[in-house]
Amino acid sequence: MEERDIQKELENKAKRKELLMNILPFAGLILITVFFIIVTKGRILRVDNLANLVNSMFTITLASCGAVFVYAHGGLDFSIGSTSGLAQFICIFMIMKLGLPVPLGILGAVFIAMAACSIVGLASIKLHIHPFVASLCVKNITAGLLSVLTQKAGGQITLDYSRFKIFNSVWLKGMVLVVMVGLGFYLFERTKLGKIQKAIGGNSRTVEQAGISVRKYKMLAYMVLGFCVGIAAFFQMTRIGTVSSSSGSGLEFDIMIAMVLGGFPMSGGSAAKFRQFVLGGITMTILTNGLTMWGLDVSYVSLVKGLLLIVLVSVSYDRSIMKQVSIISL
Amino acid sequence: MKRFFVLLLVCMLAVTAVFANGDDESATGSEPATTSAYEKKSIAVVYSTFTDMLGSEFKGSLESLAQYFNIDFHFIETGYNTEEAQAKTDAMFQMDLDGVIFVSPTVATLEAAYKRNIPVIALNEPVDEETGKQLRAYPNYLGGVVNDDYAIGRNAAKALYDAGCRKICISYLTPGTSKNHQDRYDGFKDALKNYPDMIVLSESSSRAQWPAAVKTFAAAFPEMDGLFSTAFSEPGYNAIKKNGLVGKFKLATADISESTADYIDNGVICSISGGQYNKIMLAFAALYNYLYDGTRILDTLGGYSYTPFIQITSSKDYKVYEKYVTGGTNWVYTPQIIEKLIMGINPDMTPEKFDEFCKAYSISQVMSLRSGN
Repeated sequence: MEERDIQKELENKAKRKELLMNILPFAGLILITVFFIIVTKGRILRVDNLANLVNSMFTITLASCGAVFVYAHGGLDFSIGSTSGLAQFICIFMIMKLGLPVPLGILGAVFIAMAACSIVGLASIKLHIHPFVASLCVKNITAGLLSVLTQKAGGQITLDYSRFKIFNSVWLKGMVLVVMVGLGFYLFERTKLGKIQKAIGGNSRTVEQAGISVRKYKMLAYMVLGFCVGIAAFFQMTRIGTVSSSSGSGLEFDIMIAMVLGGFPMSGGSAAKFRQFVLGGITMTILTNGLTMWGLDVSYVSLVKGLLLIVLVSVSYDRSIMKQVSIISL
Repeated sequence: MKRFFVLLLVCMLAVTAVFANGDDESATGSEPATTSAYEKKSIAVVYSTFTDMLGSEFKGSLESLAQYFNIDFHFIETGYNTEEAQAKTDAMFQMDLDGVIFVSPTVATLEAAYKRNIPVIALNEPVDEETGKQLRAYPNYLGGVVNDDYAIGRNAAKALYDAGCRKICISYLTPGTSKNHQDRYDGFKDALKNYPDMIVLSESSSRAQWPAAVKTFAAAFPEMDGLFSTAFSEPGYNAIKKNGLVGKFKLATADISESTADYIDNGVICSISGGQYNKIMLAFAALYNYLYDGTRILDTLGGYSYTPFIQITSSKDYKVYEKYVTGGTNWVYTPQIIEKLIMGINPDMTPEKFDEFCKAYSISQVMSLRSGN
């Protein structure tokens, strides 16, 4: 009788914890949204600004759709910012300088991004270089290439902005976002491709012993990331309208911040959820947008941002993972 | 304990928010404009950071004009992340703005401003012709007041040569990052043709890794007696000091920072160009011409008016510079000087006179203007 009670109590505790873990990332998002509704006196909810929010979250959400596969197996790619910049350059060069049709430009961007991400994957899988080091090398290569190419092209290439207004339509971006997020969610949560990534993040040796090729699935994750970065690069190019040596910079950090804000476990594994990345991306977008609209004195922005981030993370991040890690390391 | 910590953070946030709230006019330096003769306007100023010396001087210069012209300035820091910069710019346009001073506006920025009928003035020329063509096509683009960066390179080459340097190295910003730095580099390289016996030992481009360049050059080329760097900052000076390089070579550079005076005094700097704080005040004047009565003062000047840097070559120059150009309390121009540049207010002002005024920027100009006030 007593044993059954203990069992029941443990089950209830596990259920409560799961429920909490499902709710907490939303709590951070709700908290930040309410906060900015108050301080901006509702201006953040203006129709115009909602369109801005879609535009702003587009790139990071799209890239997150791919990054989730890599981070779930415990990998990372620190090169996606400069890879995105290089993909943008190739795309704009094909369209503006070579006069090729837009779909070919998009293909060019996707190809470059997939190639760069695959190199990171290959280096970490085949050469057993830590993905952090491998991606740093690729980051230098792509940033260097971008710098040389933009210099040769006269410093920067500018898009004929009027021709590309259609790609900045909120409706088009909204549709692309829905399709990509839907597809990403399906692949990550419902198919072998996503489930195996989580399993590898949990214990890659067990996965290997189950007869599954860990290398193949890791490689596939990097290719999916490259595909998403390529598509995101195209839209980022049409949004900013110019490609220079600094294009794409900082995307890798945005992804990491989104990961933390969404409560995504840093070492991957079974606790990794697709929605964590997406929620993190949305939270970050609202944070950036809200801080600007608030009209804070610029000297205080970093301080307030830091305070908001720490409050958000303390609300949404699953610290039990950290506890497990510290227990193991002890 | 955890709850206490979160509560503490929330309290800190609340207190900071109260002190930092942009609606509190004193926070931006814009005192309630009861004494101003002008209608209230709201202007956004967009720059990568307002916390470095140049950025804070830009901010301080404009804030010194806020009360007189009844301006509510909103300073937007874009940082160096392109996506975040665009997101902040888009959010900025949600404010009720009358005008924008943008360091390097993009076509996307102009498009967003155009939709809301907001005039934009620049502090840099576009990097390429295509961008310039597209920017000029927007009726809300007023052009810009920009620096003559090419002259920095030219003056630096002469200063190094005059200081006796014959074996030099060049450190510059990664090409394609900034047109200003590219112009400085081009000016220097072109001027080198006049000094055939001044040899370039090595060149290095980086994303502002000035200390690394100093250390590498000094280690690889001990014979180096001169260095041209398209900009320099505190870590660079620290590298000179820590590596015992004071007295080993002369430095010609741009952008004045906290230690500049010390390195002029100890003989390291033979030429430094700076004091470009005036251009944001001149850009404000050009924008205010438009806001006052629709005057587009830069149109007949080809869209841009050029203003030089102040070149400092001695400790004496620096003292004068410190007194009249910088220092945190003494801004380059007073509101009354700026007022005289507004054609709607001062009927004697013309685009040509405005251009002459911009071009005449020097310590002596500032001194004579101050003595007249």
